[in-house]
Amino acid sequence: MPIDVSQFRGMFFEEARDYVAAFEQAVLQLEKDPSDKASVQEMFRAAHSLKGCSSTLGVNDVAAFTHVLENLLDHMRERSVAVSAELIELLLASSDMLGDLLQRAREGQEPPPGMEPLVHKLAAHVRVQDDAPAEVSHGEDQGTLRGDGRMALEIRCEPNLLTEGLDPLPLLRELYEVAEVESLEADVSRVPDLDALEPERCYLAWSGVVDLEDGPEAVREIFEFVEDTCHVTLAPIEAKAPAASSADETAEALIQKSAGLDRTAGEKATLRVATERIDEMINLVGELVIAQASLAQTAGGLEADEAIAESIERMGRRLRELQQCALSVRTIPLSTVFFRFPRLVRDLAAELGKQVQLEVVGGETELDKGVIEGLAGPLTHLVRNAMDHGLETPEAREAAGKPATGSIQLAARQEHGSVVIELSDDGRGLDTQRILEKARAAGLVGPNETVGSDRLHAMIFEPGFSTAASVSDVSGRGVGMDAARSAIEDLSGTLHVRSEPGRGTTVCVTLPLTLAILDGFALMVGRQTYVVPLLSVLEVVKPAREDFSTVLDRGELVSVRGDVMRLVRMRDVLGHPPALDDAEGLIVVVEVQGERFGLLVDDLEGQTNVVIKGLDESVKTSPAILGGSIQGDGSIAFILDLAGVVRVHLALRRTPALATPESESPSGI
Amino acid sequence: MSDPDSVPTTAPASETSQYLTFALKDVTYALPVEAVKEIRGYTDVTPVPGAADYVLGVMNLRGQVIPVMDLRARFGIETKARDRFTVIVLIQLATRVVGAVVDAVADVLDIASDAIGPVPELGETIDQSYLAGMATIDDDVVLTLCVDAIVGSEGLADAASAA
Repeated sequence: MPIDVSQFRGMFFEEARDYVAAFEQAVLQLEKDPSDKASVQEMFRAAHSLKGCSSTLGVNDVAAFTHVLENLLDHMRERSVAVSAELIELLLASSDMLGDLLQRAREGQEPPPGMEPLVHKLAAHVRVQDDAPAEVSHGEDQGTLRGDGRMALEIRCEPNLLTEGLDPLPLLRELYEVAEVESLEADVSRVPDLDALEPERCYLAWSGVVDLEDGPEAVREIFEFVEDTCHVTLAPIEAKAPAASSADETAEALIQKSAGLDRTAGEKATLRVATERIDEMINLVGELVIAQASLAQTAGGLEADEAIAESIERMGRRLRELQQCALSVRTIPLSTVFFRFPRLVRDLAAELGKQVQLEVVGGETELDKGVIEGLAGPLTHLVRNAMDHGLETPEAREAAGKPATGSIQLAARQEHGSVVIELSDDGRGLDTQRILEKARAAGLVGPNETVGSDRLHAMIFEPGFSTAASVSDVSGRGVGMDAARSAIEDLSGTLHVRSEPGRGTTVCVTLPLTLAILDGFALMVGRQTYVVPLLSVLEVVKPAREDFSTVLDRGELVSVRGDVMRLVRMRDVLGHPPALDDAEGLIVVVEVQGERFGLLVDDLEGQTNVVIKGLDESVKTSPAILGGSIQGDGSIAFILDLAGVVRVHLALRRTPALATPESESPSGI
Repeated sequence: MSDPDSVPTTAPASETSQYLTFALKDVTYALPVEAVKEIRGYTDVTPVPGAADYVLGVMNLRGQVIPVMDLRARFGIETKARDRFTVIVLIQLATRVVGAVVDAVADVLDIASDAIGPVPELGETIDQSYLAGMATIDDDVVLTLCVDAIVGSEGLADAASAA
């Protein structure tokens, strides 16, 4: 049965991406510390693995390119090559090329035109190093040599080995312990035909290549006591290697060895599983949790005996553990998205003529894979923005009495049920005066309205809002920040800005741990239960009649402890008949796109965890509805999209206002 | 299907398929049995804010949230109060299940493929795009339905914009 390799292709591209990421990280590490041989080793390992699996799967462009790259890297680890800026550029270009090649291979496209020139450059670099007065002589070196203690090993046994009471197998095992055996083959050419074979005679011999860090003595020792019956010859393969460099070589071999050891120690057994299967499992576990809740409810209603209630309770605890465990399968560390920023910051700093020091903290914090994948875009926007607008030029910084090199910190941590990512810079901070002028000009703020700095800071995320004096390639078009905010909100996250003039800006992104299960807050509108993301809910209050007011150009408002915000009648938004008395309801204060709204609802059910079920495509719903979920009693609750709720609210307000423009004014203040 | 006379010569005469028939007002419709997942008595559904008017709501089918549509409303026939004959036919599609409320299920019939002819112009009644063909069984007219047209999102988008 032929093996269908196509099923491995998807996996290959996943893995390949990891290798390219590891490669790039190692290049950046080498740039920081040119004497770091481990990073060269890391690059080599990544290129080598990539070459191996790409040629197996017939991804030939990648295989061909990594081959050339591997040659250069091999050169770099064989000798002490000076790490020049040019070399780093070349390696980074190679990293980009690999990413590009993989992308194209995945889409079945031809390699990009830039590949050939880059291949020539890489090859040329190898030649330049060859021509340079190398510290190590290289004779017939074709870049194929590996470690430096490599020796050809030959073991020939006397026919009487077995009758002497010896067994070659334990000897060979011992050999594997003291030496790194690259290859070892049994020579069976002397084994006679079966009728001539004498079972007590040994006809075998072995030959192969071993790598001996500790010199040939260790091997000789093994065979010492069988000298008479076992003849061992060891011949250095690189006969011309000068003795003078052996110390260096041994050192390097040791570094290689330790790097290798670290790797095996740090590597845990892993399994790549299709995400759909994991999602299905999480979904089922979620259902199980709900089924248990429903069972508990039923048992409670039956006033079942205590033993039953207790075991149902115990089952619930186990199920929640199982759910945590299942969810953790989907989580991956944030470093998988953070890793790109050192490179981005480095390239941008050069482009913008700024000096920047990036510090990344908390890359080990884990988040749902879906969230992490959606984070790359918005975080990149935020980092670009901080680089472009936040940080000043070295001259401006020095003039302001700050160090010429600006600093950006990207820090992640887990907090309660969510993950907080903070991006801080020590730049000039937000210019609230300018933002206010812009906001007035754009009509976001009334001419005489006073606005708190929090709201002003949040305005940088308004669509089309940019205070940048000049539009650069990097940012300043005012499209990035609102896109970043809506991308974060799509992940059920929130965004906050803190800023101090002259001291810097911090953007704080709060995200739920997982997308599969929503940490929600259940509320009642009419007789229906709706769920909003818990992260968005700030507080719930019982309003008094005098808290409601209507202002001509802003519509209905509600005051919550003196904080005045727009009132959203949820019954109207969701198409339920209006309630008789507003003061009978409750106000749920939520934050949507940086603004607070007071949602008027009928009742609360409290905190809940729900599994989000998409609604069928044939149900064209209101934009206020994100999906459905099944509750403990089997009934269906709808999950609300708060941005959609606000959209529906605004649309509703506009329509009646147009129809009866007069009717609203009498109720105005 | 445009040339019914040619059908007997190309299709084997004995090829029959099973159809579930049900009533809407006074017309009998038929769905291929492969498309029918199950039939359940009518239970209340949860209305969905903002959904098209023929979508009655959603129901919990063993942990899945599935939509339920009123087939009368879908076909533009005046709706009627539910009674003890009202059922929900769960229609199985490639990846999803959709419920359809009908007046009553009638029967499971074997219909030979050559007995199904094209749908004549019916004039005022229902949108022809939902109909696959017409057969006459024991003097009764049975209209076979095109499942994808009923639950497909394209048709729904039109209906929603018209609503």
